[in-house]
Amino acid sequence: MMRAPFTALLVLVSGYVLWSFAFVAMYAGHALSCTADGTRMMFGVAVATWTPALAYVVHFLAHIGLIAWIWRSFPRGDGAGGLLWRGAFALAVTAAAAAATLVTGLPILLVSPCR
Amino acid sequence: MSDRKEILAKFDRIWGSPPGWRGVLSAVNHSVIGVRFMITAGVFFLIGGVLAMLIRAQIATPDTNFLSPDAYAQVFTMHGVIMMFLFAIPMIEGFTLYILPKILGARDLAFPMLSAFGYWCYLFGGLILLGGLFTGLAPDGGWFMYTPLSTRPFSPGINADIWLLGITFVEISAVCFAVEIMTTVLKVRAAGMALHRMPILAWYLWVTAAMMLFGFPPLILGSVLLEIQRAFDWPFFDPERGGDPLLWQHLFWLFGHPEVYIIFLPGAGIVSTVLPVFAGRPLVGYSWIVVALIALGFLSFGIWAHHMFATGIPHLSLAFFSAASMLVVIPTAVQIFAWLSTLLEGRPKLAPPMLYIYGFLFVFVLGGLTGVMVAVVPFDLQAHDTHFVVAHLHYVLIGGFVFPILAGLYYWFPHITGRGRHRGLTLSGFLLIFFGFNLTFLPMHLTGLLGMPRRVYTYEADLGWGALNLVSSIGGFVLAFGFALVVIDIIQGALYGPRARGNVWSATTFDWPMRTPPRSYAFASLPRVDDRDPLTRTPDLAERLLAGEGYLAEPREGRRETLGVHPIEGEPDQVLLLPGPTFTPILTALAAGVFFLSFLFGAYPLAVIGLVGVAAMAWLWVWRSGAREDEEPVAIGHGAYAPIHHVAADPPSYWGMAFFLMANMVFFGSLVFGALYIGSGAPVSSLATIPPLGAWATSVALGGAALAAFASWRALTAPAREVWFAASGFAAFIAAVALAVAFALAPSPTGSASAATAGALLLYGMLQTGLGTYLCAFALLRSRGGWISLKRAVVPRALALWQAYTAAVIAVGWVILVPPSL
Repeated sequence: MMRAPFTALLVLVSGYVLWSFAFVAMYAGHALSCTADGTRMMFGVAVATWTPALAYVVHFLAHIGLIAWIWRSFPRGDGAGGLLWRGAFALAVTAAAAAATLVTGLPILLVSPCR
Repeated sequence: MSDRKEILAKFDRIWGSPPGWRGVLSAVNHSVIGVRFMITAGVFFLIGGVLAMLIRAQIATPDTNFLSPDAYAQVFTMHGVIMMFLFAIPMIEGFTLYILPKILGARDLAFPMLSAFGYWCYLFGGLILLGGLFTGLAPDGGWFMYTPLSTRPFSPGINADIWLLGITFVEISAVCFAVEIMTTVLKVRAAGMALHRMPILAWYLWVTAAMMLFGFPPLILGSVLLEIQRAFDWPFFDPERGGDPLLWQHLFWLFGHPEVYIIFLPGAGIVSTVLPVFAGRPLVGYSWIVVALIALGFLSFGIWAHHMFATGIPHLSLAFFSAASMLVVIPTAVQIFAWLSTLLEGRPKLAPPMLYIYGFLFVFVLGGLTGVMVAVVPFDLQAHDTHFVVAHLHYVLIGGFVFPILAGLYYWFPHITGRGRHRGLTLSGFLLIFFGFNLTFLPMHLTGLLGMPRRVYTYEADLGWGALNLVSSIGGFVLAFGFALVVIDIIQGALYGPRARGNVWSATTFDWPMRTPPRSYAFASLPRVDDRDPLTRTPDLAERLLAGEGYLAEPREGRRETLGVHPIEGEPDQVLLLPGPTFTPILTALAAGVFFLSFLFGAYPLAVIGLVGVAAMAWLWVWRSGAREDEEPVAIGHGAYAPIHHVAADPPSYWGMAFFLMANMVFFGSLVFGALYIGSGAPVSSLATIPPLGAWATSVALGGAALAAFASWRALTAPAREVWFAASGFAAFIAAVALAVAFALAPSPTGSASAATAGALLLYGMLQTGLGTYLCAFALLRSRGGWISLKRAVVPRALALWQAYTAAVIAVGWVILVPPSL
């Protein structure tokens, strides 16, 4: 009984949980890269750019996967009001969180690392 | 009808608090504790306001000697401390405790004793801070207490200790509140109140509580580390021994920025509740507002370094925080447009609460716009630590919190007191506050842009800041007169206002279909919900509930009963039996007070006695709850039955433990962050801070903790439950001893910051495993006393959760400490 409501609640906010992971991975990845010779170039791009960029891409793809999973998991059309609301709500939250991750990571493309 | 009167008299006897001093010290009822919180916070607000007047008097003109530099430092520090920690947060707590059960259609909160304990912690912690102020020993390093200024060499007195210990004591109250509210919103609602039917205010308060649950532990950890550095010289923040002063800023602002939203969201919740009532239509965009709240709850945690733009963090990292700061604007704007749309779609009436709502919209939007300005890194570097920032934060906090709280005060005044008010003073009070506020803080933007730093106790005349400061000071005194009028208005209304009974505003939420002022039991019978605005469909709900047409309409065996529901669907799944008046909360808080005061004065043996007292009181607290037999489901009305919570599958106490462990996890996560932060700035070799033998002892501890977790899990279902409790406790004890050995073998924590963080991790593990042993002893004795069965399994389930968490954190600690040592 405990697991079901807890999981259901977690699904509602899972998009932003993923955003939190993305934020921490990008920030920590960048900071640690800069601490450890992050200006070294790899394929013409600094390591301290690669690290957050990789985190950015992986998490954004995870967002897309999450949106697809929620889209499939909840009923659409006629159905119980609460479940319909939760499905639409979870989808809106997850899409907004994906957009948040997209915007948060944009500076990777624009700002030079470790300065 | 006379039968019903007798029944209501019985409810009064069951739910009421005793008269006289016994009632003062033992009350646990949410209305009593909520009002008590609000009045105490109001008193602190007035004290903080007087300090603000002193600040404005000192800097009204150049070269003033009204206050000495030392006194000025104490005054501005205590102004911030009081307003943030002793007024804003406790006012939110009091308001929430008072209103939440009522809007959820419940008789009380999930853990009434926890609310009472929180109040006493708040009061005692606040008195410690206030004691510092009146003895000239108040904290003087600014409300955010930056290191190295707050470390022993630069603040040798006990001023900083008063901040660290007093605030930590007060924040215990905040964490208790967060656990209480998160559990209550999920488990203690009206029948049928599924998530999508919850009143919007409940969503706001739930998100606020969640943010407090995750936001306060980093501050508590930072305070503990800094106090340990001050008391025992462990150099977490000392750069000469590998520490880093910036770690304090990270920990503080991990709390500090979400704090802004923690303060704003309840205010916005009041606006979302009050504004539709006076617009005469439901709130526009309910679901979008809830989506925005979830977004705000998360995004506000990604902004902490927005306060650290000037500390030399690499530009790309700053850009992440700047982007997150910009993103927060969107969910805030969603709410503002929803409120404006509600006004446009409705037929707004001008009533006293609406004055403050309009004031809020004007002031808060201006504060939000300057917030966008300081989120831009180049601008922030120009405005950093100037009066521009002071102006911005007051526009946001007074606009986003004080104006809505005043709207709420006027809105719920008839509810709390059962009286209305004479209108004369209300408009004058509002005008003085609105214009006084803008007169004070609008010019402050300019003084800031002209370069006036915050916290300077005086300035020279030729800098050109004098005229603007004089205007600000005049505005400050106008503002103070406004607040004085509000206080007079409220006192006059409470004493002499005309009687105002029932739903005076024609509101549609559950807080109004009850007698006002509310009885201790709130609802004579509990309502059922079929939509978001229950009073629209059933205008005579108050009479129906009074007549006993709802759930739990009759008292049973003198018990305090309310419904527990499924967290998502809101259907009743248990009957909660709540505790009555008890001295346990105040005695537990007193024992905690002994600990904090002893620590403050360096009487460490006495501090240990205080901790033992807390442990003993906690034992008594839980021991008295529960049952010795598996009770059958009881009738709840409307032909339905539900189990008593002792035997329910999903009792609130289990959720409470889960939420407490989440706060604990954030505390530990912050410690791990600190260890990695310090470690990443140090040579790799300095990460190896425990010798091989200590590493082996840590490995033994990991094995012990894993065994303890396994045994506690087996105790849930195995026939020989008590043997497994004993085994779990013994394994946890062995783990604690092994960690103590590792601690003894490790290098002195005073030698380097990495050794200090290793020591802190080991101490944390010892505390966790020690408490695990203690919980096992408790579970064993409970089981032998007949309090535990397969159905009555709250204690074993909570224990299993605790031991699993402990094993997980020791595994994380092992990964940090052991591999570099081998």
